[in-house]
Amino acid sequence: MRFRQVGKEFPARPEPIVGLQNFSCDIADGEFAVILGPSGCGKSTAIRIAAGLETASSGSVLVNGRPVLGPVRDCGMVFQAYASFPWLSVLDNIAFGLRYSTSLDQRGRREKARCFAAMVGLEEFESASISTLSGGMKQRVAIACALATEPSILLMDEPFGALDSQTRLLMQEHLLTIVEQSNKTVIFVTHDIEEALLLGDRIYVCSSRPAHVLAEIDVPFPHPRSHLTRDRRDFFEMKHQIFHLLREDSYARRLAEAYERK
Amino acid sequence: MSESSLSRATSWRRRSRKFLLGFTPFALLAVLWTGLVHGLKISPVFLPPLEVMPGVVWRMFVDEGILHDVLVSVYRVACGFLIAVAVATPLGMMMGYSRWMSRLFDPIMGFVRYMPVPVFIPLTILWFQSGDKQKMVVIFLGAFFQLVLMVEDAARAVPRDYYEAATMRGAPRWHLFFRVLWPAALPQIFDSYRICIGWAWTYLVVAEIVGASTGIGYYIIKAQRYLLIPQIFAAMVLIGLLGMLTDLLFAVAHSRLFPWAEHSSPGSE
Repeated sequence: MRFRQVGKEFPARPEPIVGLQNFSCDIADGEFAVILGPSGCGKSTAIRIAAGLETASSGSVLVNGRPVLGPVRDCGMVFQAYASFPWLSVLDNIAFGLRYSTSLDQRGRREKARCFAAMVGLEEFESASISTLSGGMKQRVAIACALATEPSILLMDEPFGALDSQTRLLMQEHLLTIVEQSNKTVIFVTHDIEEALLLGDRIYVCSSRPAHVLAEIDVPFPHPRSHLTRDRRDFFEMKHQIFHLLREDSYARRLAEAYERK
Repeated sequence: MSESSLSRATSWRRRSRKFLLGFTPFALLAVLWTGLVHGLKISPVFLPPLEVMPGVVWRMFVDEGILHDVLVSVYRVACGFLIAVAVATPLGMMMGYSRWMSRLFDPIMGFVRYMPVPVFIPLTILWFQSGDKQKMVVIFLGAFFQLVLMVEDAARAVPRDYYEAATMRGAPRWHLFFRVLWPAALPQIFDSYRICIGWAWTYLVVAEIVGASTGIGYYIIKAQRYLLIPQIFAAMVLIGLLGMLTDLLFAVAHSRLFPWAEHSSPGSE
């Protein structure tokens, strides 16, 4: 997946808001790429353009060499919230997309959905209603839904942003195990530096709005990773490095704004 | 005592407490009423004493056959309202789903909605004669234009995120209507039915007060003519009870059909 000088403007008064400007990056197949940036910088917009849910004002996104014009078959997406339908059971939620991605009959779809429920550890909650699940379980359903259609690219837009820190860590480890067993390309959007380092193979650090890529950072930690990865010495060092990078950017931005106002 | 019978006992106690709480205002109203009538020596023409009411109600059912009027009225409300539901639901959903449809129909609906329903009564009598059909048309007119806009609101309140989630799982655009919009909006649409059927009852009585020979509204007008004040009160109470019953049915159906969309309120048990 390639972002080629993607720009996005939102109409607003008195002048349009620029969400993305010259946003470029190359994401290799099978890579776990993290787009890291401060809140509201436009990183979610980038991933939404990649998914075909929004169109770029300039530039383009290529998936497997073809420009994205609308929702892409090859992409599964996990949203921050509202990702699963509360009127369906866990199993029916997972089976929802199978109707379009496979030619299986209803029984086959349920059978297959059952596998994915088991993959995220929800085999005992198959017939549960979504509204009775905890936040972490809801996101597990969302992940199962996205994986069930077997996309080659998994887009994740701050999927653990609404979870408490304990649950978030469990979910991060769970995601690692799932992704380490597959060869999927993952694009993961977050504002959490530790999350980015724990999950990503490569981190694209974004500036504040309008977002563009400040730095590409390769994460050298070996797989399989777990919460213990966070205790490594180089984990701390990289965390500080990224922290300062983001801080410098926001200082520079503020200085520039103050200068302009004068 | 086994655990299940214990929990059944506490749930029974909780339910009876809830009932008592809801019954209290009724009891207070009865006390106030009796106090007014006997304390201030109010003439029974203005406010009939409560103790004559059971006898009056008995005569209404046994001698005057009020049950027939009730059934006729229920039939009229049910038909008029169901036709309104059948037309307003798909139309309102389409208006909430597509901007084009809402631009097309919003102005006319907003316009007709403000026309006073009683004005339609002479016209409907002219067009349909004064029978069941005409009463249903009045109820339809009263309910439909309100309901369409309420259904439209319910459809529009469906978060865009649901459509996006369905799209990302491969659903084509025309599947979103039945697989996302319909199930997502249904609980709130059902709520609008519940509110709207209350108005349907009002329009029924309005319709039956003019040019009717059966129905509760007609009964009230007849009682008025002969100054049968207790009967007027009794008929009003009857309508209140029917309304309460309808509301209860809707509430029970809502929680059975849409357990995932239960209303939460602060301080609930």
